[in-house]
Amino acid sequence: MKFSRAVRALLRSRSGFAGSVLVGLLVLSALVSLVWTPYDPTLARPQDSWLLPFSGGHVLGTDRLGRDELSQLLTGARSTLSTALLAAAIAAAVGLALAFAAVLTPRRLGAVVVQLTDVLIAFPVLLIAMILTAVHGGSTWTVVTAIGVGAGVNLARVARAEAGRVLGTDYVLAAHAAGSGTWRTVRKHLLPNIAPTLIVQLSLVLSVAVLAEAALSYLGFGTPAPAVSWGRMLQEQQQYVTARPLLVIWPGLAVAASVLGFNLLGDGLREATDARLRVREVAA
Amino acid sequence: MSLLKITDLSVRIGGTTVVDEVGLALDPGERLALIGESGSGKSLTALAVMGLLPGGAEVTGSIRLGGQELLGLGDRELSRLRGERMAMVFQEPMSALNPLMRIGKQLAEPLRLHRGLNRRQASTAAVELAAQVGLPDPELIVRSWPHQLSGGQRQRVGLAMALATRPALLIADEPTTALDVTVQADMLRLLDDLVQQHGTALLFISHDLAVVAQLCQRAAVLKDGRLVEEGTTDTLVRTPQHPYTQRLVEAARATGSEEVAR
Amino acid sequence: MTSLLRADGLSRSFRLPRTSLFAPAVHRDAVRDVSLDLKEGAGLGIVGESGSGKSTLARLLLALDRPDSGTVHYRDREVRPGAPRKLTWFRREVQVVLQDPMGSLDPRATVRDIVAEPLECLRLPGDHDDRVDELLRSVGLDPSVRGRYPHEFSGGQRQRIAIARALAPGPKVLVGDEPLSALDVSVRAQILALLNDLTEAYGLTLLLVSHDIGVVRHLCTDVLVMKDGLAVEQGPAASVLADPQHPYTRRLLAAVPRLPA
Repeated sequence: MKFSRAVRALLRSRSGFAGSVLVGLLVLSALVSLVWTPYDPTLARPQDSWLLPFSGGHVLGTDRLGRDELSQLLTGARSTLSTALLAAAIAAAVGLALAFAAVLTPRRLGAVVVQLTDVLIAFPVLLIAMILTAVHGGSTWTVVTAIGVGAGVNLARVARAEAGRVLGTDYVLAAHAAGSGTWRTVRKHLLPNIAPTLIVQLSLVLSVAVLAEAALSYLGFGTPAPAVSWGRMLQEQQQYVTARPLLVIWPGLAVAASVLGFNLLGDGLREATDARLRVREVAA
Repeated sequence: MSLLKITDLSVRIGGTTVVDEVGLALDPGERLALIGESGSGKSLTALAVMGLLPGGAEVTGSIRLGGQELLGLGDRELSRLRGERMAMVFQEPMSALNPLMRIGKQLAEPLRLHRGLNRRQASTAAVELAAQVGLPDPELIVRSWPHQLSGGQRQRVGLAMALATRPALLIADEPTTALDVTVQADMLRLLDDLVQQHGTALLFISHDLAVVAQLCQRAAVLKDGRLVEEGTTDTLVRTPQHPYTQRLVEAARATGSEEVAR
Repeated sequence: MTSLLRADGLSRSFRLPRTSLFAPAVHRDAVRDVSLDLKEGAGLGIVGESGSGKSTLARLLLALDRPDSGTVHYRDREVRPGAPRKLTWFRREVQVVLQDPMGSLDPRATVRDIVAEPLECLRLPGDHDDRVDELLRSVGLDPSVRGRYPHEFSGGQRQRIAIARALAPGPKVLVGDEPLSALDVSVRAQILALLNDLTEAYGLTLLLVSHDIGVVRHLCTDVLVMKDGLAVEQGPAASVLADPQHPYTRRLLAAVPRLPA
């Protein structure tokens, strides 16, 4: 009931609606590619190379190796989405762990965690990801972990501030007076009250992750072949951009739309949760 | 002729009527209390007079200050009037102060803007103002930042700023509610003295009947945006006519600190 | 009268944030060597202005904060802040109502969850839903509100919910930390009357922290006046308020605005 109200508020806001549509498209592409693509996206057919859109049954044409562009785009959505979601999950775990370690442990230890987080924030995430892949060879996991941890430490800072605020409220004090233990207070009061902020932040992590995955793949450090990725499509086709600009524009657009989608979704979520806060203030 | 005359003032925000056909009049040098609980529309009435209502508020009726109609005046004209003819003190003094500006500068600003003093004259006058509102060590106070002052000191600064241009009308919106009782007592005494000294008319907004009784001869009671009773404070407190006023007085007595039979 | 809650020589100081990296750490004594004895059936008012240490004292008495020195005893058993499970016995006996009824209720919890919180935390037997309904009725709310959220209520109703929560475990002592300060005058009178009624109905012993002498006069038999962390005057309300001995108490009483009789 509360959830459906939040969804309605989200769809009412312009950015929330646009974001939901774009993210919905991304999810739909990824799901469809699991069961069906027009062609095998990795199948090279030299006799079909450089086909123009709408020729030979290829809606968006084919590339130098004769692979179907649309099939690659649909399949690419899969690696984009899975990278983003996994990275966000890692970011949430890292962020919450660091934030809780900072606010729930004795003060001296908490201060150390805070300092540690601030040092980690200063680390260039993409650079570390590249170094790791250079050492271990490219793998989706390296990319995902690097992006997730990098976003996680940033998330930790926001979550820590928010958790500190909630822990300072009178309702947490009242819970302790009612005999609530630390773990119960975290579960019943802290998590529900920092959730809106976290969800907004996580949607922004998703957009950062999409961009980072594309960038790393483009640079050759990301998702290894033969898996399809928008970043690598860009990289492979950039040298022919003058001859076949559309083949570069499509994956570029796909990345841009996904990043924009997650960003708008984040904005929409923020508005939706804010609006509910405003209702509350008026009622007060 | 009255200094401030409000007739049929209504304020609507987002389709709800929050002030409903309120009429009030205030003579020069007179003190009138506006009594009400939260949501009664007392603060909005004050903000309407100051022309400080939030955007989107629909105001109808008439507010005349010294014969001049305030409703429909342009921003520039209103802000000139706010500086020279009327001023306001708020409940939360910190909200009226710029946290990034030293006290002296904030006191000097209205003097330079509205009384045409130069920088040096204004800063001397700022020290005088600080001394006038009983701030200890005014030379030091004008060099401090707002966060370095106590709540009571901040409220004194707020009062000094409001009175800097010797306005004909001072609106005080719950100016002592956020203060401790002993500080409140000092503040009320100060307000009493200064208003008397300058011959300023006072529109005093409060929920506290006991405070009002100390300061104002006349009082008006607001409930849900409507004026329910008006009269001398004494009569209101001793023989309230409207049931709501009766309830307020009863509640004030029930929670007040008078001796009661236990 | 037997002693319920007793404090001996409580002190608590806080380290203030440093004004500069090189400045020595500054400590502020919030409570300095305060002792008190709350007798069964009495009502003790702790009066003071902001910064007097009265709220810190209340927290120490509630074992929500650890004193630097001094002890708290409940019925001659020492109360030490620590693991919630070791304090269950104490929390069943001593409960609190805080000042801001909006701030003290979790905005994302239903009335039922709020009122049942102590029942669950203190593992009290019986049907919690029935008990919640009974509690809501006793504070003058309709039990049908149990599924609603705090923002749907007025300030007075929210304070009633907070009182219902405090009464849930059937405490002997009710501590109120400025329970009426955030309310409108007419609502304040209603909640005051409610507290009065409940105190009698349940035989509660009240410990009321307030800056409002009027409220203390109405609800308390004894008064403790605090200033700058010290208990400057302590005694029966009737004598302290009628004939204050300490200069500060006199100043405080003189400052209270009064309605013309």
